[in-house]
Amino acid sequence: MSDFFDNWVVQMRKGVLELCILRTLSVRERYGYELVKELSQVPGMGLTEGTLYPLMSRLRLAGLVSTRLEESSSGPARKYYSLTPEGLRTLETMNVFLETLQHSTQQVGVRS
Amino acid sequence: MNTWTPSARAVLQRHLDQHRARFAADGAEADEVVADLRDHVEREASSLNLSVVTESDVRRILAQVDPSLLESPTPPALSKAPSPAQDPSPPLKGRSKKSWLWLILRAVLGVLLPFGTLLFEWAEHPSADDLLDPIPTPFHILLIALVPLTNALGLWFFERSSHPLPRWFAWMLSASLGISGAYAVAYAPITPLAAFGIVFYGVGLIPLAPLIAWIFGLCLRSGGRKRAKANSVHWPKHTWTAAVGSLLVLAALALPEFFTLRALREAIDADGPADRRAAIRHLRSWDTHDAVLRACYGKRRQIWDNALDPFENRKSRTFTVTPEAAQAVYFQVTGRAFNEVRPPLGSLRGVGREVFQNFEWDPSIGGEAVAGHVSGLSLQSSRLDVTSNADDGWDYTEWILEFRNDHASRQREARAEIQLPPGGVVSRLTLWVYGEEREAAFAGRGEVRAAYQQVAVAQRRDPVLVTTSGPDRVLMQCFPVPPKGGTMKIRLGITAPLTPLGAQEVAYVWPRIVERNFAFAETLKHHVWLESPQKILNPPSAWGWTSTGSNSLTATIPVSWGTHAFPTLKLHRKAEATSPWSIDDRSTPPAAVRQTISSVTTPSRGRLAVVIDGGRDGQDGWQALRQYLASTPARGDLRLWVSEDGLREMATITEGPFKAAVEPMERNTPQFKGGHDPLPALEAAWGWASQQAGGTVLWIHGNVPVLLGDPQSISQRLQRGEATGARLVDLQVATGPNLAAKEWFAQPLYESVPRLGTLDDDLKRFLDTWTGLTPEWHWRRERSETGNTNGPTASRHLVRLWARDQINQLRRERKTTEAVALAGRWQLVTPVSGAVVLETKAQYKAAGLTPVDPLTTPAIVPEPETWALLLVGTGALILWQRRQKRRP
Repeated sequence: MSDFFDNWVVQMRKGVLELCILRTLSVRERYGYELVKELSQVPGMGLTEGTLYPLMSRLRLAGLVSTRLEESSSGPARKYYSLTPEGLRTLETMNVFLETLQHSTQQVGVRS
Repeated sequence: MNTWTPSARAVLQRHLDQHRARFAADGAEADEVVADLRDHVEREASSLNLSVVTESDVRRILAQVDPSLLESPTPPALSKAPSPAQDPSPPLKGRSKKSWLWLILRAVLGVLLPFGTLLFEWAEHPSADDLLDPIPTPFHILLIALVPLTNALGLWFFERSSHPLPRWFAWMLSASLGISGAYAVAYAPITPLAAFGIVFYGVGLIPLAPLIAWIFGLCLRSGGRKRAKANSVHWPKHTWTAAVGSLLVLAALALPEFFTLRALREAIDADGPADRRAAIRHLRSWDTHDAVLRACYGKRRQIWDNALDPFENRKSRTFTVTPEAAQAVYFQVTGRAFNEVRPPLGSLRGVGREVFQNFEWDPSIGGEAVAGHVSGLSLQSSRLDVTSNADDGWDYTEWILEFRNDHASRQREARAEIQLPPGGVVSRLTLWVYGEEREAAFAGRGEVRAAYQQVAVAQRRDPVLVTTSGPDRVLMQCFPVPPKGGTMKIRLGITAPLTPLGAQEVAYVWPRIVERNFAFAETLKHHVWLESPQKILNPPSAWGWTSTGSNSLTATIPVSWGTHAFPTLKLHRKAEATSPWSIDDRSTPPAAVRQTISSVTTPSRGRLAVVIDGGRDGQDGWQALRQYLASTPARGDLRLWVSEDGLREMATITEGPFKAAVEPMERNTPQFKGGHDPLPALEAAWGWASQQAGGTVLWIHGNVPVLLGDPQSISQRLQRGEATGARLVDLQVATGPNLAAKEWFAQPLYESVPRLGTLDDDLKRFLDTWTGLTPEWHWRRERSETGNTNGPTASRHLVRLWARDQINQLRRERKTTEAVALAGRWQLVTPVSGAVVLETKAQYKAAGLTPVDPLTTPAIVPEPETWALLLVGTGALILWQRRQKRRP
């Protein structure tokens, strides 16, 4: 039971992690450390930095997020992430899809 | 801020690096993720207010960040291996085979190819020979070496770690891109051809090396920028200035050659003569003659032909610099023949190697010009054996020359123009074939040349050819000297009169090479042996001559670069030995040939016009003439011209003392630079001197390796003006080619002053006899069918010398057939005849030639047959005379 559940949670987290990132960035741009700290505090996400950074890199390579460097007075330059127009369009599509999926999954029990 | 221990940094980097493959397998950019995580860990450490970050701190933070980072990663499945583009820098340890191959490929294309190309070009210079010279100076080598060095460093940086590249490397990379880009553009015209060659023939990688290195550099730059971005550092701005700087350095290095070649092209093809003269003047003032010299060998840089177009206003849009045109310009600029100087050495092209080591194709094979030096060919040994008889006034020299060809694959033709002793004639030619001596066939000039060209050029077998090439000059050519150290050995026999200096003194003048297409071997020495029954008056000591007897001299004379000239030897003769005779038994009827010596003192001869070369070698002639005029008591009509760029009249003396010309000479001393066309001055001088009977034009000049004008104007005067025109007397200051003499020496009004000693002495001897101040001594040889045979008998060399004179006379009378027949009988090389040695009887038969009987050739030691023939000939003459007397 527990193994099954663990695997299911991993799959679920994987599925929604990108969405969470894109949603976070849709509010405003964030630098990497800030983003990790914010997402790692989301209950149930179980996010680690070792998971997030490869994901950010992949999103950037996919053209959904862009980065820029900004000098920081308190330390090394910060790498800011923001949504690209493509990323924004993808986020909207994902939201719609998730809403539909959520609605559909709720309806599945009721119908039966 | 906190301080990190080195081990803390190492631990962090190690843990991050070992997960690169996993990051890449997740579709991320490993460099970026590693950099992000490092940055994150550093921020965590800062947030913990650690003053010193240690290994354990790092492990603790990593455990918080992502515990899996502390574990060894599971190797990714092969199917998920990162592509090289995604992960250009996996750690060396644990590399996949594919990754190793990718690393090797990058090292080969980015580092080994440009470096190997540079080394190959330096050692063998294939591009310099056939396309363009990419490394004309040591600075070019340093600049080009920067490219593989930069690429190697870049590769190392990427392989070593995921740190951002050093800032200085960004500048270095940009400079390297400028250099490789410039060469890629230079080779652009042949890039498609090279690519085609690689695809279809597997060759052509070398011309592509700059382009490949440039692309590699661009990849490095792109990777460096990404890495900088991933590491949150800025790629230096304005690095393009380094590229521009490297281009400017290349341009600055090319400027001297650019302007030189531009002037060279102007000198050849500018619209007007004034522009051409201006270009020549510019070239004279610049010390960039090597660029012109390269063009003389056809080694111009094609790139300039295109690059110079926009800067010029030329007559012909299809103009290119031909070697012949460049050779003419080289002479005008330097006053020297292009093949008179050593081809320029490459600055760093191997020790002692010549730029034109691989000057493969010799376009002058079988031709009548000595032309440029060919690589690998040298004169390996030289032996001169001389026998002479001062009383009888003849000498015979045998010169054995052995050539060696060290070229790896090409057969070579050795060509040399040889100055004979005054009045000399080649009377023997031998070639060693498989160690055996083969004698020549003597026949008409056209016949022997055709046979030579057929056998040498077409069949590529072993012939040697000797033909005349001007006054007392012959052109020797032999082919093929085999490659890889092969040798070819020939012998020239030269019969010549000893030059009479007085009743009791004659001079022996050595033959010498005046122009050649081969080098002198470093170990070359002339082995000399001269014998004379009479006393040698001035045995030289400078070269360590040793006397083997009262009248013999031997010497071993080392040879340095340049033509050689041995000192003229003076021999004593008995004044009473005035009329030796010999037998011409090869003609019908046989007859006696008798030689007498006499002196003539000529009264004043008319106008004397002197033309002095205003070029580089003319200065010696100018000084000698000034010195002579200052001391001579001679009077008469004298006019002096200098042939410069145009002509300049220097002095005119009318019925006055010659020494009056000294003052205007000193006032208007020419600059003596470069080489000039003498024809305008000679035409003016000839016109003036011919206004009175007995006029003479004395032309004092240096080498004439090229004709800058049409010599027919002077040829016509010397031929048609025989009755009343002035004679042209040619006094060549330097030892070298004289194409003008080659054109004119057959004309009746042409003669040359024999060079016996110093220029001062030879000029004084001529002018003193011309002005009648001293008598002129000369031999006279006559053939008499009824003549007496009293007096001393002499060598049949006397007959050969008579035959030479007779052939010249027959030629003037246009009796060429008789002249050729006489030359064939006495086996002489004359303007109408030549000598050729072929390898086989079949070749002789095919050419319609017959080699001479070895028993009939002259020899350095009189063989018994000579005396036997003399006896037989004398008997035949007596019998013939008796038969004539019996006839009614």
